[in-house]
Amino acid sequence: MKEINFPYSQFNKDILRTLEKPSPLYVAMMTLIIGGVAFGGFCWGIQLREGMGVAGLNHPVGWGVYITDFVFWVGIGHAGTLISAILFLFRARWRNAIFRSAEAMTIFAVMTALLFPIVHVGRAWLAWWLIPYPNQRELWVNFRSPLLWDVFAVNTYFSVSSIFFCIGLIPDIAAVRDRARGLRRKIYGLLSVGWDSSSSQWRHYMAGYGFFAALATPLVLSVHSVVSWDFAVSIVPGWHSTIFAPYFVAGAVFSGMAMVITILIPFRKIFKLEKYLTTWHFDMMSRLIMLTGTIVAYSYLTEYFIAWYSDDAFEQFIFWERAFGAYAIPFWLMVFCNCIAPLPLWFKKVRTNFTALFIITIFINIGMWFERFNIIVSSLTQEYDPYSWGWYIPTKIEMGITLGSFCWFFMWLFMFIKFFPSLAITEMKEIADPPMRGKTATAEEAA
Amino acid sequence: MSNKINRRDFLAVMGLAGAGAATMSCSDPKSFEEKWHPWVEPVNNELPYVPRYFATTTPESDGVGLHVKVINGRASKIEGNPEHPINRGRLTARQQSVIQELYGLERVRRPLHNGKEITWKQARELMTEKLASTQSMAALTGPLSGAVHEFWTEFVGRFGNGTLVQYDTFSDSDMIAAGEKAFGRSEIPYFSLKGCDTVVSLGAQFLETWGDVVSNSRDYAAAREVDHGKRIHHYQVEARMSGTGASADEVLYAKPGSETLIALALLKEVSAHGSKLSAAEKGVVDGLTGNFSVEDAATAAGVSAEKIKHLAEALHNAESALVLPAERWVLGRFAAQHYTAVLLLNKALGAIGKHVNYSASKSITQVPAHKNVVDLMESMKAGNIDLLVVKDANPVYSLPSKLNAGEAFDKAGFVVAFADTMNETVAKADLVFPATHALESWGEVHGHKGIEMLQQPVMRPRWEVFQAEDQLIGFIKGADESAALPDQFRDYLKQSWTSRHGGGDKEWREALKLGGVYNMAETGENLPVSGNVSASFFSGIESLTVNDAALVIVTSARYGDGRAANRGWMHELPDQMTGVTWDSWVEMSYDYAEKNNISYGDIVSLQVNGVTVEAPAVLSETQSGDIISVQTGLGHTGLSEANNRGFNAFDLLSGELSDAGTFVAQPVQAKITKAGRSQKVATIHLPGLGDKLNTPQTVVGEKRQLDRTDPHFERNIWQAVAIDALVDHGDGHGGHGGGHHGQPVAEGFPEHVETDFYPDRSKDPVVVGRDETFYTPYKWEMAIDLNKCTGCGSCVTACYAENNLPVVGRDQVVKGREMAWIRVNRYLGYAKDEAGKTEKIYVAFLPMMCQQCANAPCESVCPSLATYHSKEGLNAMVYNRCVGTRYCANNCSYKVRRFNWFTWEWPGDTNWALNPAVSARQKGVMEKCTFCAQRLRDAKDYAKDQGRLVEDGEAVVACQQACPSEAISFGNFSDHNSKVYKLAHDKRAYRALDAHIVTKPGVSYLKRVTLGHGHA
Repeated sequence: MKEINFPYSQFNKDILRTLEKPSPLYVAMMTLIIGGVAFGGFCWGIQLREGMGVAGLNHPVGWGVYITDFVFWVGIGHAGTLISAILFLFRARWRNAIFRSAEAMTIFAVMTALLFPIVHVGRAWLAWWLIPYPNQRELWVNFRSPLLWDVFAVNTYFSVSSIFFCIGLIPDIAAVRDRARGLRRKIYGLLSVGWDSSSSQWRHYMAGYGFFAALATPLVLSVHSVVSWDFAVSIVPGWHSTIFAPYFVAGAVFSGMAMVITILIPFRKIFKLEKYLTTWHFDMMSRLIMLTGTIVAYSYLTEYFIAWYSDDAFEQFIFWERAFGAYAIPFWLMVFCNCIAPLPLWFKKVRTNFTALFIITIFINIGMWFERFNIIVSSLTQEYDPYSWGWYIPTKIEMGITLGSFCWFFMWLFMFIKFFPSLAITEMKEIADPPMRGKTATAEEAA
Repeated sequence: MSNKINRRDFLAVMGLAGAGAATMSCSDPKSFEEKWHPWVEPVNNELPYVPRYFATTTPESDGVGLHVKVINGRASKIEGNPEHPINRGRLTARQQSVIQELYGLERVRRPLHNGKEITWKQARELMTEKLASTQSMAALTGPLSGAVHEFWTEFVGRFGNGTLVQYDTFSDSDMIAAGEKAFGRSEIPYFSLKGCDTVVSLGAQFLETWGDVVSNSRDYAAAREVDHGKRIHHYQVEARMSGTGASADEVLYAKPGSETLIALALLKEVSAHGSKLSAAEKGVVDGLTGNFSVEDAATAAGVSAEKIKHLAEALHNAESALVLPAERWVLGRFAAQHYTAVLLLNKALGAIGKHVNYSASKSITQVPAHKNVVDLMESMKAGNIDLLVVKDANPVYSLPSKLNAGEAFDKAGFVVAFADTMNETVAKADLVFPATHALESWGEVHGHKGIEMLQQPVMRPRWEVFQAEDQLIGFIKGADESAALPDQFRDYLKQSWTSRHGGGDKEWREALKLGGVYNMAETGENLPVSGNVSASFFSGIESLTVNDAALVIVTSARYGDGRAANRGWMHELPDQMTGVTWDSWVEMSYDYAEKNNISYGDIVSLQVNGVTVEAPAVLSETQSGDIISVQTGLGHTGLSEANNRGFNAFDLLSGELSDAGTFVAQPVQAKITKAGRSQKVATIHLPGLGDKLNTPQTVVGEKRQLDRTDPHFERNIWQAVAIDALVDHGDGHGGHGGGHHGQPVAEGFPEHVETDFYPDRSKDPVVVGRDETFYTPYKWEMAIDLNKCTGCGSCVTACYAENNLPVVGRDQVVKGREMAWIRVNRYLGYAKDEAGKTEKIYVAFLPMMCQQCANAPCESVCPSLATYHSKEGLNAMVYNRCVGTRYCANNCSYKVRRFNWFTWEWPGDTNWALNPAVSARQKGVMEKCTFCAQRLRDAKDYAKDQGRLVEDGEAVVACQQACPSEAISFGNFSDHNSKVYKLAHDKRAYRALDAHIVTKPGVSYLKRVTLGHGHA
């Protein structure tokens, strides 16, 4: 931790460098990304116009890639708040360097996830009917439905995370404001809501921040638990399982952490922030991956054990089919990506090797996507009535919208990087020695 | 200047826009074509949206009576005529589908001359001219009865010594010949299964296509009811298990072509071991069967002699046995001999009079011989016909291609067709007069002796078209002003009818209301064996079996002779055994396919009698050995594009005629080659076929990818009980137990037995604060007797008609998106035979629709409350409230919810048949069966008007209404005297999956009763 110990001014300079005029590479990538978003929008337009039939969904597989994407993105959206809130409360100081970008990722992942319920429903133009409010139609919603719990859970999570995120941003925006000129200064000035770094502001700020961290902490656990109940509350064999809530939360943190690493490795390289995002941070994140990955692998085993132990023929059948049936390839891909591929992380050398980490976390991302795909699709294809068994593969439209969702996510992320400090300046300063006090390290020493 | 719009401007703009919209919509010429009139003067007795039922029939309805439901002047659904002795209100799927033709894409709307539209005036002038100059006219029609026959005879008599030729693709003159040989009666008897305790069908698919399917199904189902520990025994002899064979207790897989030998062997055995023949008759019979033996028959059939002896024994031991003949397609030139043998066999069994009823026969005049149409084609080819008038016959399609009917039509002088619907023959006509559809026409159809049905128009013609006979009257009067004919055929019909039946206007109206007169004799006399038959008649009979790739044609229950190939409902109704929709296919066994390296969906070319056709191979577990089967009815070229599909099985016939004048068909060796391509087959029966090309999902570990999903019924969705288990209780009602098998529910889930899983309905917001409770006075429930269900699919089509279900098309069926609210699940079961060696395959059918669970998985998961539990026990579905999350469908354990993947279209005018009582659904909305909520509402309204509750049997749902075997019962479960309540407490009753997931379904299934011990 002592490694990241620079003069305060250098923090400002290095971190705010990301806000400078975009490079041609950035512009090119942004163009591609916006093109991808447009393509996804186009695909969705086709779906709105023609009907859900342009997707590969059918009877009996009513949920497919859209719900997979939804759960995947909600899962991705777990790391940020975990890092920023829970680790804040635990005073894990390694979080300070990464929490801002992780939190931004969370917000954008949840924003992406929120697209999918709308993309997924048959009459997207009526999706607002799921919001309960007194209305002249005298219609109400069904509070027994896990989907409605979802509406609340995800929206709550999104609002609290956003507020928490915005609050955390205030001092940093003020720092940007102080360096900005002209119109930018006015905008940042507005966004920094009059922050002047007075100690009374800091006192209130820190109290508020802690309060929000405490508020956000249970949400980290609740949102994915509720999402998992979309499945667990049903009576579909392969879904109906009490282990789903902890299993999904662990999986969410697992995938979220992997996504943070996947994003931060190129990020630190491109913006030359190697000295701020060090092997120490990645080591710590990898340990979290190891923990959650182990829980996930254990959950897989537990699911199989319970399927066997339950003596429930339908349950046993679906778990057998999941591994050896028509969807065996995604299943074993999932097992490899989530259980086998992360094993090298047990070696510190691997945890501190960025290339290896990058590859492993990509595997985890893929594996976690397929985990959701497996749970959703393979269970639905072979339920109780063998006459109604089916088969599902996604169509181009679904993959197009999925691609669009990734682009949508990266679009916000890229914009964020250019407009806001991606590393928390103030909190980075917290772990450095304050000026005029103690030993002041130089950049050279750190390296 | 302000750009705000003020009120005055707003009104001006809106007025202009409104006027514009109105003008634009009026400028569409099509909307005027329909000749809309305001309902200033209401039609007599017509109330908007109040259905009226008209009794009528059509020539293609197999001699059953129809009740056509007419709403707002439009025919919207066909139900059976409950007064009719054959169908008693029930119909097959195909009989219901006629309404789709009424509004079909192929309707002819304008007179056509050489394919070009001309005016009515031009057409009439042309016709008048041709009629005036004709020297040798002929008229070719479908089978005609009564006044219609009289009229056409008169018509052809008036112009150039005309001849009248009737043509019916499936008429069988050999049966007439056999009647003549056996009993001296040139008639086709009425075969009745009523009270039958053993039926041996040598191949007749009497539950699908053979004979009077509806009465067969009804009597068969009634005979399956367990009575004092007994029920009918059904043996089916066939190589390809048919839908009828699927209901049989035993299927004898005999090689096709051996049926005549088997019949004679059975006759010999039965006669030898004491029969109901008199001594003299026995002498005659023994003289006939002397040269035949069980062993020869067994060798030819490729089965053991014991099996045939076992059959003979079963017949011998039966109290009331009936033997049905083979399908005409395998009998070849021995059809008359086979039928004679079967008639004699029935005589020996004492079935003549009781089950084979010559007092309710069809006379020779009702059975036109194919020879007549062949002769007509010959004389057309020879140029001997200068004017041909065609109506209701499609020889260009259905005559064997060897006969080249197309060429005959080209060579005929001038062909005039009176047609309601375009087809191959109409397309060949030089002049086409649009005619009214059968449902818009007057006519008369005779069925079995004593059944004379009237055909009346149920609605005004959809287009500006006229009845063929009315037009002909015009031509007759044009040629001869003094002709003593009424101006309209209706009056002609009435005159003819009243002259035959007596009575006046009142009786005529009474007959119209009833749909005709029904004086069919229930039983006939036990005719003595005539002396017409001699041993020489049976000499030369040999096996017609083919050892390799024996091609057998099967009559399609859906398309029939091809007339139903223009109807979406028939395309989308899965074939009973293979589940194939929309296409022709070549069905073969897995063994044969494996031997020839053919996989499911491979396109194979089939070469027979010099004709080659191509179709995808469909591998079937219910087809034995080297048999290849194809079905009739598709392969049209003259319909609209969507309906011209598959190949024409009639093309494969040799075109030879039997002595009686019927086309001969027998198993022939087909040359099968792989075309090197493959195709997705739109089958509904094989799970997981969807987008994964033709590879059914199966139980893991099987070497072959067979159709083996839940092969031992461990999932308990379909259940059977051995008859032994019911015997102790006498009549099979009351008591507990039954042959339950599979998962031991009580042991596995003791808590389920103890716990009442019903949600507490007293707290439900639907009733809280109101003076109402759940399930009073009604809780609608259904009971389906699996022992009676034959899997015919009539219920499916009835549901399509009643509930405005869309036809989604082949490509969507392939993707698993058919919209049927009720489907007939077909399961294959595998059991070891007695010897424990070979596996016996049996087929189980289970009609599956929304189970209206009292503890429904779908209701709780819907976020928008679009589906909820109604006070009457229905899973109500509010389409307008549905957002389309599809969670309900995922959570439905029975997979009966159907999602609108698109806003489905009704091509042509088929939307005219929509039921206004059922709302149309938009894309993105879930839909499903709600026990015909609209029918329940009608019944309740009717009862309410009379100040009482709905009585048992008063509320009838569409599937129940149509079911030919009367397997479906429906009623109020809260009324403990109702039939459905009693059936739900029958010892055979179970509720699908309820023991496992406690959904408390509102549908009780009654276990199928199998013979002997254990389960089927």
